[in-house]
Amino acid sequence: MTQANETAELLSMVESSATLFLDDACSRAPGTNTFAELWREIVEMGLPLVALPEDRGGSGLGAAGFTCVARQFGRALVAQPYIACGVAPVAAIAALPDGAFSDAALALVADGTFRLAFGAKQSQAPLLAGGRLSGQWKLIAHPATHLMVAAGDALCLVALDGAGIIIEPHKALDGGEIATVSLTEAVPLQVEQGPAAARAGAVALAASRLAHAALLGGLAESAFRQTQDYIKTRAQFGQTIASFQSIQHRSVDQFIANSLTEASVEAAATAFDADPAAPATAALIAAALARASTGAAHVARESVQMHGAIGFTAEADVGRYVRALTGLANFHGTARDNRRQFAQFEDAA
Amino acid sequence: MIDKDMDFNALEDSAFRKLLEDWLAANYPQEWRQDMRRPFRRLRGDDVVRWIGMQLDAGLRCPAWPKEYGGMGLDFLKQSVHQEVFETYGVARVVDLAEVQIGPTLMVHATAEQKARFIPPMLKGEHLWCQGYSEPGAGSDLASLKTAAIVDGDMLRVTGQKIWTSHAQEATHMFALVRTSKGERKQQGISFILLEMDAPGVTIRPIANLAGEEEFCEVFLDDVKVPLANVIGGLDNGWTVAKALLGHERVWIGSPGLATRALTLTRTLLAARPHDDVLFDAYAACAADLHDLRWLYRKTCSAIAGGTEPGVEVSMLKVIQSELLQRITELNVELGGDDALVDGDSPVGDTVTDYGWQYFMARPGTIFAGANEIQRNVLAKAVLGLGSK
Repeated sequence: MTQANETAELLSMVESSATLFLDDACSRAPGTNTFAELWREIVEMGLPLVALPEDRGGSGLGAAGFTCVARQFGRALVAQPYIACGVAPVAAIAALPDGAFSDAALALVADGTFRLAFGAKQSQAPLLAGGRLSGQWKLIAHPATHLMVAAGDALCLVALDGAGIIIEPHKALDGGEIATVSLTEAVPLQVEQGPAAARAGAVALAASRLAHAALLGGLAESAFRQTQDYIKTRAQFGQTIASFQSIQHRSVDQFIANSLTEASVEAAATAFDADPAAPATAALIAAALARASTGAAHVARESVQMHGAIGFTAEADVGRYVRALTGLANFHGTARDNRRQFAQFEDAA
Repeated sequence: MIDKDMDFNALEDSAFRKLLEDWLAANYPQEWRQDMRRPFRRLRGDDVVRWIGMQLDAGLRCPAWPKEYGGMGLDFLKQSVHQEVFETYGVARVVDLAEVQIGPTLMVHATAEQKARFIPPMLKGEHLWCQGYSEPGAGSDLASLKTAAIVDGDMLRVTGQKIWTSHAQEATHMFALVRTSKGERKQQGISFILLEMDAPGVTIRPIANLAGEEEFCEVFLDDVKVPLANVIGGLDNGWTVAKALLGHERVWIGSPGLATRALTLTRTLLAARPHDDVLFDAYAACAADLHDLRWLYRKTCSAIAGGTEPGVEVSMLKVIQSELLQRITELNVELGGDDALVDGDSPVGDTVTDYGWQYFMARPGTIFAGANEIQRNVLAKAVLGLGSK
């Protein structure tokens, strides 16, 4: 079997096992599938490490792997910060040279009793001075036990149970929780400083953005599927609403949108695996995010409309997806911002 | 140098690409190349014959045809490289129905005698073909066509009217769908016939389009005599014959080539004015759409090259491509502002464009080769399983 075939087969296996696990997870009673409980199982399955090379305990599947899994998380709408605690820290680890920092980070990710969240969004500019870190980050996966954040050209690993730490949680539209984390002269467990650290921070952010596009694609696909199932059973005027041409055409348009998202994410994942820090990769990720973002809003809008009044209820299952799509569509920039970024790069190239 | 007996498929893609690029650079007439003024240039008449001859002499005629019929015998992957090279170079489009439609149809459905009679001349450009399908009353509902053909001895006598027949004025032959009997369903009783354009009873009336060009025509058939030997696939079997091919045509028609050309004009227009965020964002929307189409197209082509036969899904490429092209050409008109009022050439920077021409020439894409509304019907039914009840 060729290398490509082996990789494809492994990817397929990872996808199947992730799908099975996630479908089971979301069928559990609310309250029994908390972040803490499920995360242990997610780690046991090796999902956070799919991108890492095998000699570091991963599956060696790179971005093809993490986008595949992120998409499944979206599809199942399991409110687990797979991206913040799995994809992003692991991308940083993969980009760093061997050493105390990457060993410590990897140990945290590989142990399901810990949850190391990458903080992508600064709400107050961080300051690392005299070995102490201050700053504020928002929309952090909650409850995390540790934080990985960039501060200038440094990357810091912080335990979230020390002095000078305030955590304010909020409910998120995807059914989970996010927190604002404020650090005042907190002492990091590990600091890595210099060009390699800055690059690793940028790679972690790029991976977050790319995985997010995949997540949106999975959410949209699932919302679309549910809506398709609904229109085939709901009848009015003596026929299913699926038999009405305007509904059919709008269904096709969503199918097209989802297909384009999938293709764009794959293109960006391929570029990331070739060079995660390249400007061209950042441009392709922006394009994928723009596409996924637009698709998310499109499918969310149509999902409600095609369900009729039921689509407006909290009870309808599709409603959970509509809430998630709405809350997450612009998480890494608007479609407009991302298309601008993509087009500016293409233009200059 | 291209050797006609080469096994092109055995070449590395990059070597094949270079072979084609070198040949084009050395041989393709500059005045035929697509440019800002004619981004979707199509060759007509004598130019078509000359171009066919050039390709024939160079061993580049009919890339997708099997070698036994005089083609290059390219596999799918090499065909897509060929298309990409020619599109990128700006090779003018040709309505070459011989190569993409009637030739392959005959290869599958014609008798040996019919193949011998028609394939070599179309290969050499001695016969030029047009398509007689649509009628005033039969467009998307093609099966409702009424042009009638009555059997009279060893002849068919054909009376009726075809419309939207591209380049009929320059064609020597037409392949047409005509009604030879009445079946239970309207698709039954249709025959696929080949007729000569200079046969008595054939009248061609060109139709001017919005761009002011006479590219398509009405063709009136008044008791035109067609030998039964020119019926392909047997009487009353025309619908099957006509539907049978168009496997990979469905893929090529989704190519991002035209949209890429149009967007080059957009960039040229933007570069000729001070930066404007809103206009740049509008351009960015089209650029991002094109990027995603390109990747979906590549993904589709890779799958086919890997052995997966193209399914109905592939027709979504045509829907995406044609609508994107319209958005881009519309943006170009917007960028033209009041200059777009000019019917003809307008200066832009150090080049010229024709705002109206590029906009109008993008209109048919959503109508012909299966109107996009119909494509959506088909996609809904065949891909999404949304039925009529």
